[in-house]
Amino acid sequence: MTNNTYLQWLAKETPTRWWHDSAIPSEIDAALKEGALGVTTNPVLTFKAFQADPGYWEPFISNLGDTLSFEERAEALLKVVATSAAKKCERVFKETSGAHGYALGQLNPSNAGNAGAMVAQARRIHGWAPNIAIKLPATKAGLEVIEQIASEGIAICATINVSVSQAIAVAEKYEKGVKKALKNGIDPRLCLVVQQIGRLDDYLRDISKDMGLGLDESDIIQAGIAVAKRSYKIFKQKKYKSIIMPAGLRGLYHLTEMAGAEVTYTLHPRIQNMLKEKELKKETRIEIPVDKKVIGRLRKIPEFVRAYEPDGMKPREFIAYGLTQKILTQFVETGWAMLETYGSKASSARWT
Amino acid sequence: MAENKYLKWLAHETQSNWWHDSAIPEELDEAISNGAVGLTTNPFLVRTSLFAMPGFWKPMLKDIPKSINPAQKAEEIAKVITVYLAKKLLPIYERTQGEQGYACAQVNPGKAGDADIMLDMARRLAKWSPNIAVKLPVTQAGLEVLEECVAEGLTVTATASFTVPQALAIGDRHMKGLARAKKNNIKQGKCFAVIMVGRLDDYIRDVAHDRKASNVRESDIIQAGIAAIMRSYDIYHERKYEAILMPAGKRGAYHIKSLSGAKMVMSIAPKIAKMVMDEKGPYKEHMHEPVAKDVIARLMTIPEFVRGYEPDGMRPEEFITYGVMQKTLAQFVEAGWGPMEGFDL
Repeated sequence: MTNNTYLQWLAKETPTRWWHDSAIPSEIDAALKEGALGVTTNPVLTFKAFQADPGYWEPFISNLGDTLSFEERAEALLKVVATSAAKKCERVFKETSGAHGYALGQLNPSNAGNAGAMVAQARRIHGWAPNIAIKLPATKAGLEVIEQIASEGIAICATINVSVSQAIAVAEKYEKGVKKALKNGIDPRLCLVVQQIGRLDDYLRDISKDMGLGLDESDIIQAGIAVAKRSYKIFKQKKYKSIIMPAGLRGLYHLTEMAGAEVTYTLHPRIQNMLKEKELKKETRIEIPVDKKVIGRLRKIPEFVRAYEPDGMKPREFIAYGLTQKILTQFVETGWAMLETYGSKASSARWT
Repeated sequence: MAENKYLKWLAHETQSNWWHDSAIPEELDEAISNGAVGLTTNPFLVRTSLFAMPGFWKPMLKDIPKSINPAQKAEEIAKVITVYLAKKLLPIYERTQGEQGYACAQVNPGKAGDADIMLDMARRLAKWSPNIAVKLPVTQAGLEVLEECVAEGLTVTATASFTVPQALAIGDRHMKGLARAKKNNIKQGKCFAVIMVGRLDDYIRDVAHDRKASNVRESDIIQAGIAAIMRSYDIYHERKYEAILMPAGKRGAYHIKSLSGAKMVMSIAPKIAKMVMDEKGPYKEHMHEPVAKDVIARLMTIPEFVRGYEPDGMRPEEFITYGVMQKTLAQFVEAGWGPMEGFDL
């Protein structure tokens, strides 16, 4: 059935797991057959799924009517795709007793600084299916929400996490939430901590160019990996229960460098296909640190230092970090804002 | 065409000028009839026009080869739309001898850190029409290109700019470019220095909510951008900078009224133009009423505002990392340049 021997090896011989990174039903089916243990839906992927096969989704969308507000519409459309993906994951969810087998329901990215709005939406989305995890940003407001919903026994996937200090902050808040849950007799659920690898590389590449540093591309593409490895090491030392989820891979090196780690990758079909075309050395590399000389050169970029150092940023700086704003905007512009008006006659009320 | 008495007053009776902020031809016609003397397109606005009226633009795009690469395609689409609109402003450009009558053409927002690519592109865009103002982002790389363009005699609009330190860097680099041009007997290119007042407000609002800065009120937040541009205006005057400040990204009538009478060029979208349409006369200039000290004091409790308000709040290499810079560039890419690259010709 499968010809993806590298992924098979990861699943059988190492603790590394992977989820599928697209919301297109046929792609999800194929990935589940290849061994994917969950689906990381988000507003962008939801919109892409509609575009890929409008006819398939039409019956669900025409049901929604024309009376919904912008936010209600986006949320209803997100629900259509997330619950469809969640259904496909039910078997894995049962077989792994809730360790895997989720689809994600992402909160409105426009509310990244608004804890109250995020908590209310998280509780609504939690009700969609037993195996939906709430995806929310690692901002100061997001951290507050994480502690709260963890204490309520809601599964979490913290996204827009680009730095070591954010990853630690998420893990700490989750531990606090879990403690509260246990005290109240509530079963805690999982917490995934996305580590945006390729996006950090992309951001630092632009800055390095702007600063006229002339760093080699071979250094730049190790920045995200360096941050992820450092977060992982700290998670192990501190015995955090959160699981790191490397995301936004730009090439196979982003996968092979973390091989053997107790992490859950999210892999876009493009990366899954790359794996089929190339025979990779099956070797665990998580313990091999990024070359100190490379780190030394990357340190010339202050934005790298902020991302790499465990105390590189304070929680209230997370929302102001350039890359946080870039990713939030991408989620809004190519995802949430499109869903606000998809299939309706209304035109967007957003500012330009 | 609807008459806008307030904007006519602003254009004809005060030192303020205004440019139209959309790429829809009919809207530009109406704006010109109400005193607009220029046009501030960007990738987002061009895309909006393209998708709003594909039947109108498609015949003009028929000569673009289907085999073209995506970045070239986006540039060619922007060229067709911008040149069409720029023609409508040529009479103003000629009548004012190049003081006004410009149409902006923006470089690829995905290359905001790459001076070489932006400079090449700026030179191409400048050739589209005599009245093009090349629009560049205020990053360290963008500033380098800005000085070079001015030294070559080009007119520029500096955008993705939100703060006092950015405005001052623009003013300074424009002077340097002018000095170089003068030395080489090249014509003196103009420079329009954007401050996106509403975008700064929106950003400060999100940051303030996130940190639960309950002492900062909404009535303070909507003065953040105005405070930044007024401070820049005073320093421009002191330092005798020749660039002209351009408040943009307005969110309400207050963004026009509070700056009315300033020697600035306001960028005004149709939605905002409508908001001042019902203003009752006699109209009054408000430029000389500074933002209240207690408002500034409360805003100064937010570090991101301090970075934007203090003349030395950021170094040029930090501009590209400022949160609202990344937000704005991402919007230009994702909702502007990207969809043009993917447009089905």
